Amino acid sequence: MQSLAPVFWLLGTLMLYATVWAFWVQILEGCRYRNVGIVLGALVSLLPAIAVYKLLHLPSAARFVSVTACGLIGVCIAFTLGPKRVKDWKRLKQRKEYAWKTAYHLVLLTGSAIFIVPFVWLVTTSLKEEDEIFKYPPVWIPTRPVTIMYEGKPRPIYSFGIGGQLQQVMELAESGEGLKTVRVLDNQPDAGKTFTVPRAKLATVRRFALKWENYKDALNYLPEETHKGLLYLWNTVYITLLAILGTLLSCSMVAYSFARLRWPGRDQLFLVLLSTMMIPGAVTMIPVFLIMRSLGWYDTLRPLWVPAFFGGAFGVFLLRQFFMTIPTDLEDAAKIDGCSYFGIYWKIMLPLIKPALAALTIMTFMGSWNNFMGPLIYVNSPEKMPLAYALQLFQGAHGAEYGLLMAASTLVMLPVLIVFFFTQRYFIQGITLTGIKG
Amino acid sequence: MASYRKLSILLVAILAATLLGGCARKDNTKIKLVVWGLQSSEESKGLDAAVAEFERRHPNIDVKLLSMGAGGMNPQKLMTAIAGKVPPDVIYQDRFTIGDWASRDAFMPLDELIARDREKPDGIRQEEFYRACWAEATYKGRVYAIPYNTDDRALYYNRALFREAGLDPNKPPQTWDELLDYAKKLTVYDKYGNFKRIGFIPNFGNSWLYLYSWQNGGEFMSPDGRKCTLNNPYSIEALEYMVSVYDALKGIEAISSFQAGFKTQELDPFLLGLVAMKIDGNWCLDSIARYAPDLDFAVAPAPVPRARLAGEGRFAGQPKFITWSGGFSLAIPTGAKHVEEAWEFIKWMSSTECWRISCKAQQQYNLSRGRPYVPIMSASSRVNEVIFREFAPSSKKFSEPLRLFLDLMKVSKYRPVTFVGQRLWDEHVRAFDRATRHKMSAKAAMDEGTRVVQRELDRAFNREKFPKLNWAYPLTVISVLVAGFIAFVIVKLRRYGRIGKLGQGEAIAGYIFAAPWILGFLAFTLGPIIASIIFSFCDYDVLHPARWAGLTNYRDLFTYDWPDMSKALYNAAFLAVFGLPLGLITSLSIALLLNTKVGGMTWYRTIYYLPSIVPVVANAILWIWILNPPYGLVNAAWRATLTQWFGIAAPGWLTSEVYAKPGLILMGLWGAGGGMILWLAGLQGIPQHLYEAADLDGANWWARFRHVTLPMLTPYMFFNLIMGTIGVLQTFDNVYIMTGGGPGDSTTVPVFYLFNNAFNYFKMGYASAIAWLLFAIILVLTIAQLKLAPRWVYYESEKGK
Repeated sequence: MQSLAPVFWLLGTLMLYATVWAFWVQILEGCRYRNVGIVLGALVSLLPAIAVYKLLHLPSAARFVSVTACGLIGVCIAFTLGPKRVKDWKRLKQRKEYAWKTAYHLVLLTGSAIFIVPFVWLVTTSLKEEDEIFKYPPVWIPTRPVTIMYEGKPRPIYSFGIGGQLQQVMELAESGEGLKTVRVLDNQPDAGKTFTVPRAKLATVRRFALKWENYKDALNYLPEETHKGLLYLWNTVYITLLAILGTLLSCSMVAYSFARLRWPGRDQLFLVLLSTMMIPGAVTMIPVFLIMRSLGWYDTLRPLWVPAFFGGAFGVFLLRQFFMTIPTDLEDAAKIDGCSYFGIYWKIMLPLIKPALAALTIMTFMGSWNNFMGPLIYVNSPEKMPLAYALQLFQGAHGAEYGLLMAASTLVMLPVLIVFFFTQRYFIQGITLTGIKG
Repeated sequence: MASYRKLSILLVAILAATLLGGCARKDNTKIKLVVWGLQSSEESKGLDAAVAEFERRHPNIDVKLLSMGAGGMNPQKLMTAIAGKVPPDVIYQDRFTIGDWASRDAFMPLDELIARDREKPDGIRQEEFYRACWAEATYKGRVYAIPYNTDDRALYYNRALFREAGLDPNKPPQTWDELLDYAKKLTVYDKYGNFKRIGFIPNFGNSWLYLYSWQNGGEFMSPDGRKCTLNNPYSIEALEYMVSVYDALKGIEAISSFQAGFKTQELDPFLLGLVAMKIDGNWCLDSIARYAPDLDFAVAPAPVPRARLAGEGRFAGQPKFITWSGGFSLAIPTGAKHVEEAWEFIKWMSSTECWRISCKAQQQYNLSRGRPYVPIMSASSRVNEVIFREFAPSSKKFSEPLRLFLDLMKVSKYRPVTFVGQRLWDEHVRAFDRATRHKMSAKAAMDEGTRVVQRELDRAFNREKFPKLNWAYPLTVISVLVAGFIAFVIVKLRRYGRIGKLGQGEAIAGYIFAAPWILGFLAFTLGPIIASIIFSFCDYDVLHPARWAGLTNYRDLFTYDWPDMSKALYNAAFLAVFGLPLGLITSLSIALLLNTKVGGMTWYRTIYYLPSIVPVVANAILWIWILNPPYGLVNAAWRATLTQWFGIAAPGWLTSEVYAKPGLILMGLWGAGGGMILWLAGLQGIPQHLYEAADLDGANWWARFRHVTLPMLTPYMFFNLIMGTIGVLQTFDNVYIMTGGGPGDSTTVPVFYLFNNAFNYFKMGYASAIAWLLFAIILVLTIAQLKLAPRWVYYESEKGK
C-alpha cells in the first residue's frame, strides 16, 4: 500500500479538481435556471464521499483517493440524472460555457495560489510579532500574546504547570537573571497564589491578532523631518510623475521617427540606440556623474527625471515595435487629406498605441518608484531621498527589523498596485485597433 | 491648432515643475557638517544623544547624518563623490579598508591636526588607543582615520551542553586538538543522520581564517607590504586544520545546509543550543543578554595550537592566546569643505565624555524597553576603562566576558594595512571556500590566492611606468569620428535631395522627431561611452588621473583572469539558455490565460503582476527565506512531494554550488508576471477580424493560436528576446543582494565581477574592459537576431511579406 501512496495522492488531486469543477458547474446551472432540484442534487451527491470519510478508516493517501473518487462518482450521477436537459440546445450551450469558465477559474486560482503565497507571507510578516517571523513551520496567521489589565498596567499571561495542571498566570514583575514573579489568575484552581519562576518555565499564551503597530512603528522609525515618511512619498511621486511624462512624450516621438519616417542614418542610429542598452551602467556611472555635477545638478533630484525627457532606449524600442504593427493605410489616408507629420503622430498613431503607452507607464512607474541606486549617488540630503532609500534604513548593521521592514515594503508597494489595478483597462480594448473597419 | 496648444501647455507645466523643484530653500547661516555612514534611527539613542550634545556645544554647526545603506558602507557613493569633488566632511569607515582608500589619497592625513591639539583636553593621543586599532588606521606612517569602536573575538561555549556531554564546564578547550575533540563529543545527530546539534563550526560566528592563521604564526603580507605571503606554511596549516574540523563533522555541504537554517536574534542557534561552541565577537553579549539571559554560557580565549600554548619553538615569548580586531573609524575625505569642524566632530566622538553621554542614553533606552545594556568597546583603552566601570552589566555572567574581551585587546592582531586590503580579504575567503569544498587542496587554494593578490601588488608598484593619459589624443580621434559621421549624413542627404520635396520633408520631420533622443545621446551618453572606451585602455582608479596602459587590461582579461572571466560568462550563459526560454513561455502563457473575458480578470491580473512590484530589498529577503534549504517553502513542498514519491533529496538552492543558479531562475520565473503586460498589450492589438475569419474557416483553438495569435505576436516576441538577452547577460541586482557571487563563484555573473573590480578593487579601467567585452558579445548576439528577424517576425505594416 505504501508504495502506491504517491499514485493515490496524484489521482486523488485530479479527481478532487474534477469533482469541484463538476459540482460548481451544477450549482451555477441550478442558480441560473432557478432549479432547486439541481442544486440539492449536487449537494446530496457529495454525501457518499462524506460517509466514506467518516466511516472507513484507511491510511491517509488511500482515504484521500477513495473520498475523491466517491465524490466524483456522486457528482457525475447527479449530472446525468435529473431532468432531461440534453434536448434544450440553448441550455446545453450554457452548460458548456459554465464548464469552460469554471475550469478556467480553477486553473487561474491554482496559479494565483502559487504566485501569491510569497506575497501573502510578506504581508502577514508585516503584521507579526518579532518572535514569530522566522518560526518553522511558517506562521501564516499572526498571533500575539494575551495581556490583562491589573493595577493599571497590561500584564502578559502565561501558562504554567502547577501541581501537574496547566494554569494561567499573569506576570507581576521581572527581576534580573531571567526570573519572573507571577500570580495565578482568579478563574483558576490556585487563584491568587504567587510564584517566582525562571522565564523558561512559562509558556506565553497567544491569540490571533494582527500587529498593526508595525505599520505605525515603521512610520515613526523614520527621521522626524520627513513627517512620517510623507516627504519621501512626495519626492518619489514628484520624480515618478515627471519621469512618466517625459518618457511617454519623448519615447513616442522618437519611436515614431524610427518606425515610420525615413531619413538618412536612421537604421545606423537605431543600432546605436540598441547598443546603448548593452553597456552595463557601472562603467558609465562615473562619467555620467561628472556630467551631472558640472551641470550643477548634484544634490538635486534632476538627474533622476530630466534624462527621461530625452528618450530612453527601452521605451523607444518598445514603442517602435508597436508602431510597426500599424498598417500604413491609415497614414496614407491621412497624408492624402493633408495632415502634417505631427498631426499623424498626435491624432492617429498615439491613440492606436494606448495599450503600449499604458504598459510603458507601468514599467516606468515601477522603475522610478523602486529606484535606489540613482538617488543614492546623486542626492546628498536625506530630505530629498525617495521611498526606496527609506526602506534600507530598517536594516541595521546587526540584522534588520524584519517586521518593520515588511510593513514599510508593503506600504511602498501599495501605490504601484493601485496604479496597476486602474490602468489595466487600457489593456482591455479588445476591439480592432487598425481603425479601418470603422 | 488644438494639438499645438495642448503641447505648449504641457511644456509650460514642465517648465514650472522644473523651476519649482529647483527652488532652493533659504540657507541659514549655520555650517552644515555632512557625515556619511552613521545611521540615526529609533534604536540609535546613543548616537542621537552624542550628536545633540555636539550641536549644543557648537551652536554654529548643524550635523547632517546620511546613512549609506545596510552595512554602513557604500564605495560607489564615496568614489563618485570624491571624484566629483563633493565629498562629505566626515566618513564613518570600516577600518580594514582604510589602507585601500588612504593609499589612493582619498582621505586626509591627520597627523598635523593630532599634533596641534595633542595637549588640549579633548586632544587625540595615540597612546590611549589600542595598538591594533591605531595601527590599522595608519598607512605608511601617517594616520588617516581616528578609530572609533573596536571588537575582538573569543570562544563562547554552552556550559549546560558541556555537562550533558560529560565535559567539565570549567575547563574549556585550549588547544586545537582539544577543540576538535570537544566538537566531536558535542555533536548530536538525529535518526536520519542530520544534525540535531553541532559542536563547533570553524567559520561560524566571526573568526575567519585570519584568526587560525595568526594563532599559528602565519602572516598574510610581508612587513614591507610588497609581497603577499598568503601561502606561507603556517597559514596553510591553519587552513588544513579548519578543513579537518569540517570533514570530521560530515563535510561542509552538510554543515552549510544546517547553517542555512540558522536564524538571528531570538532564534540564534547558539542561544537555542543548536551550536555548542562558537568563536564570535563581543557584540554577541548584548544579544545573549537580551534574548536568552538564562543561558548557561561562558567565554574563554579561542583555542590555539598546542605548540603556542606550550611556548615552544617559534612561539617562545609570544602571548599564549590572541585575537584580532576590526571596527570602524572616522576619517576626513580629501577635499572636504569644513575640515576644522569635521575635526572638532571627530575629537568629540572619541572623547570620554561623549561616550559617557552616548552609553547613558542608550542604556536608558534599553532599560525602558525592558532590555539589559551591554556596552560596545571603544577603540580607546582610556575610554573603555571608564565605560566598563560605569556601565558594565551587574551580572558576573556578562561582566566577566566583557572584561576578558577588553583584556584580549592588548594582544589583538589586525588585518594588514595595504592598498589591496579588500582584494586580500576576498581572496582569502575564496581560498577558504575552495579548500573546504575540496575543489583544491589547501596549499593549492592559498597559492592561487597569493598569485592573484601578488599580481595586483606588482601592477600597482609598477604603475608609474604607465604614462599619464593625455586627453588630447582621444579627443582628436573622437572629433575625426564625429566629423566622419556628419560627412556621411551630408552625403546621404544630398542623395536624398534628388528625391524631391516630399522625401526631404519626411527626412526633416524624421530628424525633428528623433531630436530628443539625438540630443540626449550627445549630451549624456556619447561622452561617457567614449570615456569608458578610453578607460578600458587605461589604468584608472577613479581617484587619480588615468594612465594609458595600452592593451594591458584586455591582455589580462584573456590570459591571467580568463578562468574567472570565463566562469562569469558561463554563469551568464547558463542563466540565459535556461532562464530566457522558460521566462518567455511562462509570461506568454500567463498573458494568454489572462486575456479572456472571464469575470474577476482585473483581480487575477493584479495577483499575477504582484511579484514584480515587490521592492528589491524585500524581494531578496523573501526569496532567501523561500529557498531556505531546511525551512523554506519550496523545500517544504519538495519534501512533501518529490522526496516522498521519488526519493529525490531537496536541493540546497542558494547554499549549493549546483543549485544556486536554478534558484535564481526560479526567482525570475515568479517575476514572470511582470513581462505579461507586454504580451497583453500585444494580444489586445490583434484584430478581431482575423479571429473571425479563422472561425469561419473552422479553426479550433490550437489552430487559431498557431496561425493567428503567434504570428501577430512575433514583433513582441522579438522585442522580448532582445531585451531578454540584454537583460539576462546583465543580471546584477539579485546576485549583489542575495548571493554576493554565490557559493564557490557559481553565481558570479559578468556585471557583478565588473562591479567588484570597479568599486571594491579600484580597477575602473579593467572593469571598463570587461564591460566592453560583454558589450561585444551582446552586440554579436543582437545583430544575429536582427538579421534573422525578417524571416520570422511579421509586421502588419510591411505588406507582401
